[in-house]
Amino acid sequence: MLGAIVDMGVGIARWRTSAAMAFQDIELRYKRSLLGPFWISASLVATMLALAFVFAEVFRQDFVDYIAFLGAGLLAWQLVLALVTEGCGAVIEHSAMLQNLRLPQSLIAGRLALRNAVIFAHNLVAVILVLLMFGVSFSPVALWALPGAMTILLFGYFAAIALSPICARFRDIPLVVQSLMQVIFFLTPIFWMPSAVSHRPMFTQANPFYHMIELVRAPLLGHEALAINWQVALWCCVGAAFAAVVVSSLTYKRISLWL
Amino acid sequence: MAAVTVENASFWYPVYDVTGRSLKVSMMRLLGSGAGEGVVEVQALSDVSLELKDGDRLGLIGRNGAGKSTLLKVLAGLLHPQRGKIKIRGRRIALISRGIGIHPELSGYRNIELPMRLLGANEAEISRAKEEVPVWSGLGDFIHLPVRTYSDGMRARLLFAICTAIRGEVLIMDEWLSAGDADFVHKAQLRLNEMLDTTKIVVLSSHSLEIIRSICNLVCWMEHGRIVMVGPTQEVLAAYLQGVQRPLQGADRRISIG
Repeated sequence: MLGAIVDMGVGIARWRTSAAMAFQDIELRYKRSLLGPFWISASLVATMLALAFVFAEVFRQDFVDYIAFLGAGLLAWQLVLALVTEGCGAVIEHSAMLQNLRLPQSLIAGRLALRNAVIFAHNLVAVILVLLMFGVSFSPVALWALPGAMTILLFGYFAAIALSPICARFRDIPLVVQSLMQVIFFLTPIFWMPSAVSHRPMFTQANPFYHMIELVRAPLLGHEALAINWQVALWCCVGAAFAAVVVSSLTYKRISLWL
Repeated sequence: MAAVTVENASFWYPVYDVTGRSLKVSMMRLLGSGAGEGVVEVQALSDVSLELKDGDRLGLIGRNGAGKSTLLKVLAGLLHPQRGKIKIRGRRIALISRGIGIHPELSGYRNIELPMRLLGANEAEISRAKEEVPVWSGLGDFIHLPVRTYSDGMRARLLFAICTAIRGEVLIMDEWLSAGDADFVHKAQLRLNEMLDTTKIVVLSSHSLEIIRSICNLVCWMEHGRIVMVGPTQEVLAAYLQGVQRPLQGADRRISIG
């Protein structure tokens, strides 16, 4: 246990290495194409437009209200999804490095979190621009989306430390998680409104991803996230951190055998 | 003062077959479907003990599969022995493989920082390397071109310059001094010697007795994951050269299935 925590601390202390790797990832995306990470934003915006045109009709919603709700929700979901799926693949992705270098899991998770923080910033700009074009207005409350995103990043950081060694040992888990995330996307109010199930509040309240998404979505829609959203999201971070420590102490000496 | 202590270290690699890597299959095994384990264990180190102090330059020799690389990786902290203890005092630098962290799309200059950070360099070492590497490698204007445009020799010069820009107290390295023209080999030798002079303990694994003779004052001869002999270079090399004339007896490594 102590060894795993020390290992984690070493990875955090070497945050500059994580940052160098993350910014190189972004730089390479810009090198390959003019749009760089905005390509991800472009696909996000395309999904958002396509879903909005159809589902605003299906749900008989006002188009501008609906696209603002959907855009902000997809923005947050994209961050959660990227962190969880990339978190699953983190050890496998770094297998060449891990065979030759001593790299704590927390260092790799740091790369992942920082890289996705930059990508989120790109997506945020893209989504806000598109929504402004449709006449959505933003209030200063929207700034609360930033600590919200940071909370999601913190969760993703610990989730990556917890998930990646398990996914390296059992190679069928990333596939399971992938399908699970797809199911969660439909179960979470992202393209459908939580008010649609107001008679069954547990449908949304029992879903931790709903609370995490609210942290980013609510401020962008002009109101602060509820205290319960923050509580659940922060408890998820604590849970993920605990899982990270447990998994690390069980696996950190053996990860190099699973590459 | 730097020190390396290895106490009765044993290490075995689990080798998983495809089914051994599946959670589904592993769970079914737990439920007692009676299938095999899906894991084969290969003993790589058996009961290895070593003690090194300041000034020791240990060379690891032995046939392929003798356990040299495994011992090196154990000392580098990449593998954790299942039994026994490892203690390293002093800043440890492990150069196991070249070219880690180098990205072919980026220029030579932009490729200095990340590999050094991955090796554990501090800010001062990185800024020094940024000045020193372009000069020493002699790449000229190529330093600002993507590494993928480099010839093998140029790439080797860059990698060598980066790897040798970091100084530790305990240096663990695999034999990797290769490639490049005659001029480079001489230049590299000088730089390597300078690096070794500022390092307190060196552990080097090599197939080249030439390199071992020129660098090491101690040699560790390994067979089947065990240490056959440790001692002054001349003594051990003489015994080793006599030993390898004899054909090896017995099975190669202990493999247990199940």
